[in-house]
Amino acid sequence: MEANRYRPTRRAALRGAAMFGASAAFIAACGGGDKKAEETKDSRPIEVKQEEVKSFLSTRPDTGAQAVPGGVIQGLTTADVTNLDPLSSPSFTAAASAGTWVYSRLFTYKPGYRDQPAKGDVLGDIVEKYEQPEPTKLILKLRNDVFFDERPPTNKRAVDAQDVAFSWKKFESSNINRTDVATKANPTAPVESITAIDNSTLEVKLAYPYSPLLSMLAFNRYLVIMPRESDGGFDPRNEVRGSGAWRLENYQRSVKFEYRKNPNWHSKQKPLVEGFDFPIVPEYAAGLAQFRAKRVWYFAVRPEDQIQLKKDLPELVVLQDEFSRSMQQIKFGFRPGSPFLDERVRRAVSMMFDRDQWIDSFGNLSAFKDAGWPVSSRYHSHVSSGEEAYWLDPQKNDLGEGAANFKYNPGEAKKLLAAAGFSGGVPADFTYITSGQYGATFPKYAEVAMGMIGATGDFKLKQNNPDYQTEYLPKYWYLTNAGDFNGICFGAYTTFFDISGYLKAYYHSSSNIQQIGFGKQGDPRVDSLVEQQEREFDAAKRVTIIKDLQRHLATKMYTIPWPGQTAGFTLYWPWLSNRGTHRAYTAETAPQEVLQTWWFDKSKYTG
Amino acid sequence: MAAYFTRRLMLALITLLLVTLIVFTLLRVIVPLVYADAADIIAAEYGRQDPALREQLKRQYGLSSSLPGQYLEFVGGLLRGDFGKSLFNGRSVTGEIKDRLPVSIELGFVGLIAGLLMSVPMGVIAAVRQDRWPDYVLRTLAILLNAMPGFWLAILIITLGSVWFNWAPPLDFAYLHDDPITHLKIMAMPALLIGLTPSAGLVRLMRTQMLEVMRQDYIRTAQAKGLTGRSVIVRHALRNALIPIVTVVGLSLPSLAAGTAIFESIFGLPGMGRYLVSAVGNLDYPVIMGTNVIFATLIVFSNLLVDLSYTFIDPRIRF
Repeated sequence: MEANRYRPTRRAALRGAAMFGASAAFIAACGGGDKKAEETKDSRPIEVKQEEVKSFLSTRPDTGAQAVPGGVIQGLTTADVTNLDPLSSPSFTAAASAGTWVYSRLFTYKPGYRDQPAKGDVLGDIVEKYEQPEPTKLILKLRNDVFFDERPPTNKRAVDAQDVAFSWKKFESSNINRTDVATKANPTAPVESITAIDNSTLEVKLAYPYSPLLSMLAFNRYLVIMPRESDGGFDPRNEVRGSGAWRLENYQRSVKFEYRKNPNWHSKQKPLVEGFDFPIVPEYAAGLAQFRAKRVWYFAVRPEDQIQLKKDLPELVVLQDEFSRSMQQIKFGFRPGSPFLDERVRRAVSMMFDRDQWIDSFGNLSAFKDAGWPVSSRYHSHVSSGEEAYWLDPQKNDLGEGAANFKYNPGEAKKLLAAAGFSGGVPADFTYITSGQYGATFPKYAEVAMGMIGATGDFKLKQNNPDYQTEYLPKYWYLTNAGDFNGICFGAYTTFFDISGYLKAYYHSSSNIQQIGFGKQGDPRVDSLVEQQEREFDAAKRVTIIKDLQRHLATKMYTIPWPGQTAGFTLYWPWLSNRGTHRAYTAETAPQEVLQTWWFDKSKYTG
Repeated sequence: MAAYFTRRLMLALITLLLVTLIVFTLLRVIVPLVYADAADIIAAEYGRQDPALREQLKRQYGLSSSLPGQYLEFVGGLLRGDFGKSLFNGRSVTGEIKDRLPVSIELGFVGLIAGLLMSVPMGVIAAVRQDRWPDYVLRTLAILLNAMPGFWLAILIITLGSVWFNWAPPLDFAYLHDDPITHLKIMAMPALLIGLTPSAGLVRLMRTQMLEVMRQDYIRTAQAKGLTGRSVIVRHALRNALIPIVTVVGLSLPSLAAGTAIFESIFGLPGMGRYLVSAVGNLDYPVIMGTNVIFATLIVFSNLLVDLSYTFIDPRIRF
């Protein structure tokens, strides 16, 4: 009797089948969308789709003349800051948030306009005029209508030369990027001193003639102008008293930033909106949900989500981005005996990259093309493909013999390895971080790179994921002893003010993050070309030098540039007007350069 | 009872003192030996392996005096209610904890209540309808809930909510005392989700306890007296079956409050979890030690309260 209790009855079997069916339906609902996607695939001719895309692609119209001031733009940020002091924080996050929103700089970058991207030219911010009486001296005259925050202790005091001198002293003694700029921190850096001659005049002394100086002084991660009162009058780590276009009205740690326009800013008609709100939402899915729900008006939607999102929400405006000026590098360990000391081995690594496949995968290229979106792609040379004036296209002949190293050619790679004496394969560590400091997608890039390099078995790679702060930064990023590691390191990038900053940092032997190694001695020809372009004031000649440098680096392959990029798209709601009309030189410097021209078009608001 | 309470209180204080010693030793002695200390982390950001810079940073952050001295300073601060200041932003850790702890406790507490409201009736129904379809459905549901990570469910709900209904959780966090309505709107969903995972275990525990109690003689006596089924279950069986549930629930609260970091990130809540996680990345000693002491205190006193609560739930228990 008891045994029969557990014998399945017909009814129990039916119940079980029903539950199994329900479970299967649930699982199918969660992830079984492929068939449905196949059925709904857009089979219209490509020309029709392209015409349709043209109709919704923003032409970057200038609606400034119709602008109605007011409103608070709803944005979103994914990360909090370590603290709010841009000059002494041990993290770039302060300079990339409060530093760039609230504090003035000596110069700002001149924005591009509509179809013309910004080129890196500068405009005075608190500087009214300047002159360069000799190649190593710059005299700056400050504006007299720039005031600090009206809240105590600055009480709307005028910004003067003493504030700049104070900020410089703080910068050269405690800023994390001081070695790029200040001779006191790095003997090969260009700026010796910035001193006040009188209350409105400053003298900048250089160690050597330096052509991108103004661009350097416009960069938000370097010298921002803080009030002298920040030394004891208030705690700049937790409060902000700036003189820029915006004030930090409210900051709740882990919750949100609220910037409001500075009513005393020197440009009286701007900003056009009252402010920007940035709740802190680290999760992409949560951010995307907020964007869909119209609580956030613009959002960095991933390429793979953009087409579907536009289909779901046809009101969204699509703006075609420009190519990014940032570029990562893959670098090599150059310890004695390293196989990567041999140029042929490095070239072989480069030839293992299927650059088209990479760009297609990460830029969603095929899907965009199929949908008729006008997406384009480029390979990087040793200069980012976003550096329009300087970049040489590896797919064209300009790069010379080094162009062959950018072609996907595993057969040639095998021959190069055999010629170098590695026909049995090259064992190597493959190092990258997985802890999120470079974003959630970074490890995926690294995994794909590792897969491509190791695809044929000629490189026998061993994955190595070091701790970011204690191992990666000192041993792989900041190369105190350049190249003093084993194998290959898949690196990230940092932001630079100008092509010059990039070249110096990555390729010159004096840099603390230089990547071409050889025990710090570098390559004399590279050093010479980097220095020449720094000192060259003729723009055309400078371009020629940088192109020569690219050709040289393409043959040597001391590092492998990341494969390439697509110029993707940005999606935003239509009531965000003038988005994309004025174009910032860098995303980080936009708050003082272009965001004051955005405005809230209430007539289109449906949120 | 009073003597028992005093003895337990003394033990709790000793436990907490030991916790401070263990946390301090781990953080300031063991971690620097096997990993790094805060000065190394900051020096790394400066891109220099420079002993002079390291020493300068240690002096700047108050890390250069002797370790016993620093420990006594830390414990002295605790006695005054002062957890010190963050190394990275100079903010008072006590102030931050005051703002953040209520958020985490509320999340944990509401989550637990939600979990109980779901799991107790489910467990009772499953037991009463043993081996019939409600039992199978509820047990399957419990296994499903147990198998699904809460954060995954949260992301799924947010994603599907936005795709199907253009719904998203509120963005602007407000404290209960500032704006109760907004506060409830933003806290409801994460609290509910936090309660789901423990409720899966509680359903199974509740079912087992109820089955055991329902086989006791006094239940048969109650049935023989002619009491209604509802009265037998609610007044006689449920109360006795709840004793182990109270233990589990009481001990879950601190871990729920401490384990909300992912939900805080997804829903943008300023709780203790995010505070601790960001501090661990930087080795912000005062923050890590302060939050650990708070979590330890919650655990120790929850234990005490659970033990004391037995006397109210089960009159047979006397201390």
